[in-house]
Amino acid sequence: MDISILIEEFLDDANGHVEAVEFSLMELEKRWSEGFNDEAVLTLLLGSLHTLKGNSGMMGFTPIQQYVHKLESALKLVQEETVPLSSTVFESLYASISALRNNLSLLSSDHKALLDFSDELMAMECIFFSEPPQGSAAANNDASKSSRSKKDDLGYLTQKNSTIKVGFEKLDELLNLVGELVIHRTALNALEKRLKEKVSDRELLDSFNEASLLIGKSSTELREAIMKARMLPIKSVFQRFQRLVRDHSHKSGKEILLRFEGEETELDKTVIDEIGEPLLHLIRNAVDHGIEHPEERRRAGKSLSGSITLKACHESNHIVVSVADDGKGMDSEKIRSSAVSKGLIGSEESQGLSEQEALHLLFLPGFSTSKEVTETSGRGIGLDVVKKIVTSLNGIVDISSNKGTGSVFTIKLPLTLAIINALMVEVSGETFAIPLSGVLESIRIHGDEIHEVGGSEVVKLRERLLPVHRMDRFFWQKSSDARDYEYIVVVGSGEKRGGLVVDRLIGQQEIVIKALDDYLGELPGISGGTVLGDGNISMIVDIGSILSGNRNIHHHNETNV
Amino acid sequence: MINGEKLELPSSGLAEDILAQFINKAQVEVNQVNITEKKDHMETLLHLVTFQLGKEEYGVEIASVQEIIRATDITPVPGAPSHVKGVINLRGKIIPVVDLRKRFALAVVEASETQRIIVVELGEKRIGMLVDGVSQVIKVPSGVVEEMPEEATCVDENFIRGVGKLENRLIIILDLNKSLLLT
Repeated sequence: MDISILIEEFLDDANGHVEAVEFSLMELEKRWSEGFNDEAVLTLLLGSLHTLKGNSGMMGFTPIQQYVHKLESALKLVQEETVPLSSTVFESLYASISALRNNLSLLSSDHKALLDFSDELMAMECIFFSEPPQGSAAANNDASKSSRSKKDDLGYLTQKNSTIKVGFEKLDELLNLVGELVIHRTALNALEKRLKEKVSDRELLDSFNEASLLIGKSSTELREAIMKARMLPIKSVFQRFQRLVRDHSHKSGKEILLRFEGEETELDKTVIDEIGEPLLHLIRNAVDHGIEHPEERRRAGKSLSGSITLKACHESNHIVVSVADDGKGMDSEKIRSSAVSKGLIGSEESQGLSEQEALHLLFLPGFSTSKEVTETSGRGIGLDVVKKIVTSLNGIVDISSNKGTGSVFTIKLPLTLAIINALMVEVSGETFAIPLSGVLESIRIHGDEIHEVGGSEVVKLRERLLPVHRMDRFFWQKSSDARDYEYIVVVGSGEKRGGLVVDRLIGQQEIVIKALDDYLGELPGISGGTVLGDGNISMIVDIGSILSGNRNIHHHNETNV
Repeated sequence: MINGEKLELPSSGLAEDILAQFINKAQVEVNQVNITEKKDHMETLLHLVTFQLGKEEYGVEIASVQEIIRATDITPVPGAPSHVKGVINLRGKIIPVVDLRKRFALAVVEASETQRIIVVELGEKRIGMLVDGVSQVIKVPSGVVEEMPEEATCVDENFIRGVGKLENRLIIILDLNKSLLLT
């Protein structure tokens, strides 16, 4: 595993602590010179040191750990007033801070640097831990001399910090502004066309064109750079589950190891924010239903402790996150019969399902295979929630399972939830965006191929009946005149399929999703809005809500009064 | 500035420039108004942006007005409340626009050149109000503002904070919260 990123993080953090210690020390000195003993500042100081010690130990930097430990003991003596504060003590403490800082900077240039605190340890030994205090005058002098020579190294004052914390809103604002830039650049294009008609100076036109192209290129790069700045490693999400798995495995008497793979994979902040909940359900599921009790594992000839692996990676334009367990796997027969007994599916239908399709029954609302309801999962929420969340994020979730050796749940999400690919269509003169992740195909058919069956319309597509929804009717309650040909965008959401009848297909485009103000109320069939390249706004179609026929008719009646 | 007088649009066509020009013009008038009303300087002054809607002149407090833009490119939103005209793109942000005529149950008119969108801030929200035309920025001494006389207008009096009576005109001062929010 590449831990260099961790080291960077540690160093960043450690430098912060050293700074805090130094600040406290100065505060302490100030108070001391005024004749006070400031307990609170000393406690604060010890707190920072303690964290630093812990972190260094965790990272395996034993010399730092030991040195900070010694420093801690020294300060405890001060706290207990065994060693009174004196300028010599302060000198020595400042020297310690410089020593820490020097060694940390050594580490940052070379992660394997040899750390040496021997001089400082000796000086500290003399001042704090040797007796009697009177006899140590010479040593004191020595100590302050050696510390002074190091303290003169003031490089840290001008040292530059390479990371800053920025509020996410600021980045969002930047992205907005870049969006604006792109729009203005489109205006420039239009201007260029007009110039071409009026200006005959070719050279001028060419340089105008070049400048405009460069602006376009720069804005694209700018957008990409901002998108990158919004990326965070998924590690922060993964690590949250360490405790959960530990607690639950203790409670259930199982031994479970949580492993990470690809935890450095960077995800857009919007995805990081959303992926926690589906992962939580999947991990709970693996803990409760996947991993067996040690006894059972022993009988099956497996290692006593089970393992759950969280894995993240990039796959072309997607981010793939999986939860794998080496537990008992899933029994598709049991799932089938369970689904039938719960009335979720007909008995005959269940036998017609493939292995894979049977596993997908788990995602049906109201399904739970565990016989007992446990504290962690099986409270009626579960895999159907995972499916719902992932689908709402324009992603897909998949299962594979081998009886006896474990199961893998895989979530595939777009790289960012802020930007999606969409199929742009026209309905009654307005442009709508249909998320491409839900589009299966688009077809053109004869108007008379649409048949009315029981009040709703269907078309026959490859021997299967596909319900169709006329978008103009759905959105505006009006329908355009019958046409010879109709354009139908075939979409899917979960298990549902349907065709959306639109006036015209415009093309594919990357769009930035924006939430619509809740002032607009609940908007059936619409999940958000986007600003197009020309500055116009188009609504983003919520495929799921259209397919479930979720048009809120009361809403219209109410507001039209 | 007299009602109905058109603004000269700056060649840049940028909303900011239009607004700047507008504010400059208004400031000149404000100064004049200030001079004429200096006598009663002891009174608090209400700083209003006034606009036309039907036959009446309305005012909103300038502090809640963020900007004034031309009423172009309003995208209709299917399923939105009927008094919402649609949404506009305000420098990359999508904000809703309320058709104030519809909100006040006035007759619907054709879109025109003088129509403006007054973008107001209501707490966290930013909402545009579509009005027939913007007239000016004035200062009204709070003393001339009265409770709504019942016969004066057909607008629901709940939407109104008061009426400013100037020499030969009435300005209906709106309560933005009540005019715009659905409570």
